[in-house]
Amino acid sequence: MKLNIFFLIFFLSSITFSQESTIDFTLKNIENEDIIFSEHLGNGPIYISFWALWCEPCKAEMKILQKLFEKYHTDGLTVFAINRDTPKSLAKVKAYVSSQEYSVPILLDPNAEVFEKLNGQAIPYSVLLDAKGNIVKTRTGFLPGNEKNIEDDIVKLLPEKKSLNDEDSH
Amino acid sequence: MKYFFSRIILAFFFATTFSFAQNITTSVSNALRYGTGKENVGEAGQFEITKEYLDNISDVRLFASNFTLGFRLEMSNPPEFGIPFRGLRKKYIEFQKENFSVRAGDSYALFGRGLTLNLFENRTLAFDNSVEGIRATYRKKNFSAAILGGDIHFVEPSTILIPPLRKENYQLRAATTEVNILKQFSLGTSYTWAKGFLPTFIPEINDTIIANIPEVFASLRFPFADAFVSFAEKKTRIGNVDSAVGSALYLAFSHSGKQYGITMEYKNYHFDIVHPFNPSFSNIFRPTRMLPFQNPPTVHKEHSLTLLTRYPHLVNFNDEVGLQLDGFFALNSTVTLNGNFSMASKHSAYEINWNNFQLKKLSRGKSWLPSLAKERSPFWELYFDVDYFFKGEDSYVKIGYDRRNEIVYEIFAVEHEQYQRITVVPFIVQYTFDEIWSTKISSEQQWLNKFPTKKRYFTQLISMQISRSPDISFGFRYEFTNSPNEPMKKKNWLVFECGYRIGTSHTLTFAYGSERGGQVCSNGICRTVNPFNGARFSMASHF
Repeated sequence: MKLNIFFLIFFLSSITFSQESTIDFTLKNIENEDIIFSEHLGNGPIYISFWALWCEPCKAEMKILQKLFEKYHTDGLTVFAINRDTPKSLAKVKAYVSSQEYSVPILLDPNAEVFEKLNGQAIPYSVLLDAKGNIVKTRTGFLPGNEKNIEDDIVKLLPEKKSLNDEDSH
Repeated sequence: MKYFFSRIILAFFFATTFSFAQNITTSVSNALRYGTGKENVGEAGQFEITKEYLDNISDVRLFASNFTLGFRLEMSNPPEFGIPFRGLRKKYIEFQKENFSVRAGDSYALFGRGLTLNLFENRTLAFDNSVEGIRATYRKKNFSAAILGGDIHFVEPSTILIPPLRKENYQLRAATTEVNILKQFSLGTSYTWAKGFLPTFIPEINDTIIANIPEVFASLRFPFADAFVSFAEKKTRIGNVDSAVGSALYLAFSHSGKQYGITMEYKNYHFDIVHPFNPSFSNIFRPTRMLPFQNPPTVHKEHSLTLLTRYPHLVNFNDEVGLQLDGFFALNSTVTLNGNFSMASKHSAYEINWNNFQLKKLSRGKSWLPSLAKERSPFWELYFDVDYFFKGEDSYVKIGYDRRNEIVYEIFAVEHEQYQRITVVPFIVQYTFDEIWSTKISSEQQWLNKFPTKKRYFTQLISMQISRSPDISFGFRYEFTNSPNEPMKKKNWLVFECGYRIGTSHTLTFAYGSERGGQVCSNGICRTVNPFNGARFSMASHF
């Protein structure tokens, strides 16, 4: 009975309020500033990647993300690399990011609040959203060679499609 | 059964309804695990039983306007580990608008660094201390606050395989706030109140405890360095008696520059120091100990490689002082050096005089610093590795060295002290042949010396994986040991594994062979994985 009421309230509320983009969250970045996800909608695709210092495939994907961010940021791509380290290694995250000279925005999700909200099971876990905030693709795991698929997925969503191959041929 | 299926039908009815409605985003993930074979159980793995498990966990998220609805349907019967369950495991509804959010249902939370409150789930460990209740948070540019209230129904992970299950229930009320006084300086405080009902040795009787845990924390932030300090005090009352006062201090400092970074951490945890003559000294479930909704930082390196995690240091949050120094240096664009040193011990050392049965507190260094004196059960670890990246950073070689010493001192039976020295040399090569094919080969060698018996055991682990991007990977894992202490006197373990990805949404994995098992730990929480012989299949999906 309680459960049914729970669903009913949600259903009625959704109908009443449903007008705009649906996914939203607020996380701190490594500079301790609040980043509100919905404020970054509208420019182009958003690539969210969950990573941790202990996860080697995640760190390999981070190198790729940095390159993609540098390449497509001006075309509208937003990247959020969300760190999933627990409090035990939170202190090391900023030092690691600085030493690697990453310019990709790094957000902190130490108790997996957003990871759980976006339905992650294991890391590396990434979610690609379109400019309106709709989930287009999710991906768990990272293998060498996956960078080509990630780039293709992003390019398809850019306001002005610009593929790597086109650019290279010039 | 009827109830279970009616809930499933109801849940999926709403999920599909919302999916087709406008402005509704749906996310569904499903994890299916099946295994069949033989498992070794018992304290020394001496009993071999037939094991067949089937777990299916479906997580659904519905995003509509400012609302999120989440629920989990679970069928774990019988489970791979943990408790058999069939039904709706989790549910919540959340409203978020700009700086404000409120959530009703199952919630997680982290205050400061977790000295007072750290609620999270780790499926690998079968650990879940979520609260069922209401959580509200408010964030402004220079101010944030959160309140939380509800019930925790907690099952001790270390007792999961030992029936009867040890279940603890808590009523929890907690609040935290943090203010940025200056751009570089913020000050925070939190308070947790809990009423706990903990089982005793007599099944019908519970210990009822009241815990009050105030905390203050502060952080300093500069572009080149960060510092954080947190102090919490825990007062526990059993019945009407003020029974215990403990506290914890955690400090962290990190500094980074171009191509390098260093981090120093310090812990001084004495949530529940118990005198060795106290009858509850050996009771790990004593009600005055650190409670399961607290999970402070461990302050030692937690590894991801198999043999490095085989004999972990188990943090004693009730009585441990320690520090950690971690650093890395990018020599150039291809070579990275990583190093870590950590050390911990109990606060005080005792020695018993067998003539008059008096305990004497020994002077073995300062109690606020870790010591190497064996009477303080010292632990230290030194780790370093070198990474060399080549072929455009897609390929790399890593070689490392880990040395760990630990003594578990037994005051009343010094001859039974457990002293072990462990050395591990990991070596990993990942080579990318082209945009499609790559391989990863790992070798881990471990030498375990046990004293005073002077026994020395060697273990070798080799694994190889070949991947065809983006969809196929296959390989094997082989482990050998000369230790005679393994269940069934086994010396070799071999597992073949393969994975196949369908699109980006479904990943299938299959493994067949024998696994040695061991302990898996994260954030100071550990679970024993039993040795297993047989086949495992899993499918992870996202929709």
